[in-house]
Amino acid sequence: MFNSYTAILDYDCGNTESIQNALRVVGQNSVITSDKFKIKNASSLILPGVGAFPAAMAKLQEKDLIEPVGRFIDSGKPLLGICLGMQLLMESSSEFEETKGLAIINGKVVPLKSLIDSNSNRRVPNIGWYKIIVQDNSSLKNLLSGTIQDDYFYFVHSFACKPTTINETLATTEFGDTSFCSVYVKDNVSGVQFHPEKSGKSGLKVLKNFVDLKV
Amino acid sequence: MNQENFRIIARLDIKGANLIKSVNLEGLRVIGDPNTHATEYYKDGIDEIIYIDCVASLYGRNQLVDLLKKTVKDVFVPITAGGGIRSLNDAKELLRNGADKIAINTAAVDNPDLITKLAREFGSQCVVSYIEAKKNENAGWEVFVENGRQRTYRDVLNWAVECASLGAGEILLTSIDKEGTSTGFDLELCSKVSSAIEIPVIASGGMGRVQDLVELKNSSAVSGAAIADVLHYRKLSVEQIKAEMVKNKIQVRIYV
Repeated sequence: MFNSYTAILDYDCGNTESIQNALRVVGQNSVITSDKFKIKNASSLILPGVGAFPAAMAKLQEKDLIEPVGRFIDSGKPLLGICLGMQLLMESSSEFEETKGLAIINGKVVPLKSLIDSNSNRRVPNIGWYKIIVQDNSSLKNLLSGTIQDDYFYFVHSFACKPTTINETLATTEFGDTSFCSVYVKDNVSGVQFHPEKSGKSGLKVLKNFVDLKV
Repeated sequence: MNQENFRIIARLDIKGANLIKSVNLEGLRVIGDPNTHATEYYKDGIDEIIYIDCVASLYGRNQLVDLLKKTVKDVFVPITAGGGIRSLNDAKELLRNGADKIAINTAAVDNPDLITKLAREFGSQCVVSYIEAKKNENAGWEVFVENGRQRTYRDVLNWAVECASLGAGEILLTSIDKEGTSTGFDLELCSKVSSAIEIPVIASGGMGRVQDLVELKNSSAVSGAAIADVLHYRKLSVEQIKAEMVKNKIQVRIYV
């Protein structure tokens, strides 16, 4: 076993291999696991997520992973939710049917369509490369250190998080005539709506920042 | 108002272990190693990669897993995999091995319900409906499957609308008439399909020069283009294409 590693949560709902490959490039050991002890002993945890909210919550339950994730968060070590993983940490989502989430971050997951008016020029799912606008009101900016105005990140989503606590939104991304929360952070828990493991050098930079976060 | 960034996507048609190229989806020619090409395009700033296994649905299996495993080690942009996907398990296997999206064509036409099942399991944004369109005598387009080998008597516009309502997150629209000809996209087809549905449409088939992309973007609401020949034969680089797009005031991601 490695001395220090990132655990990538394995619950059949993520592109875990891609995340592992990206971590390898930034020099971080990682294990793809659903084992409670390996999760507990990790220096950081990534909650990936590709798919639909209700199916993903059901999988977490089925694999008995909700408690280990909660304990990990309680330990104060860094956790990063990616895309659907970011959304799962919210209180609930209305994807297909209203489903409860892990409720670590206050607020709901809402359809992108509900954010824009009907004659918007933007399509849903929102797929493609967009910039992020870092907010000044958060003191926890380390996740995005070195991120510049010209960095693009890859998004592919139909829903977005709406944190109710304003200063938990670390970055937003413009969408038609509005914007959505693309990065949040609350203590040791952060989430990114984009896929850092699929966002070229810009994304690798964010992953490097994440594994370097101090407890 | 914040606009969409037009996506420049490399489309790599695969047969066995080779990157191949066809004309009108026929007459396959071997070009080289797909992984080498994908890696080069990534370094050059491509927005996405599409791998289509061209013979998979013919043989009922997909051989992209090994290729995906190799590519995702060095390529950190989204990869769509398609060809021969007939079940949730086929899709899962590709997704587990590095695909970010899956493209389905034949199986969706045979069993439209599969689109809904895939969307429920993996999310709509993961499900690309791959449509092969061929112009017919009635000034419309017919859906073909099996790489343009088999007709379905379905109307492309109706089918695109149905795919979107079944839960597809994106349409990959290939013009069989234009494919491999380098004579420009089927602008009318792209315009009609992209205005008939709300999900993103990616145009494929016909790219010969950057001006073709500019005309495509200016005459339709497509969200991106899938490009093959001009990249594979190194007639243009991704960088050149994007620089030219910017000159024509089309918003693209500039790679830093």
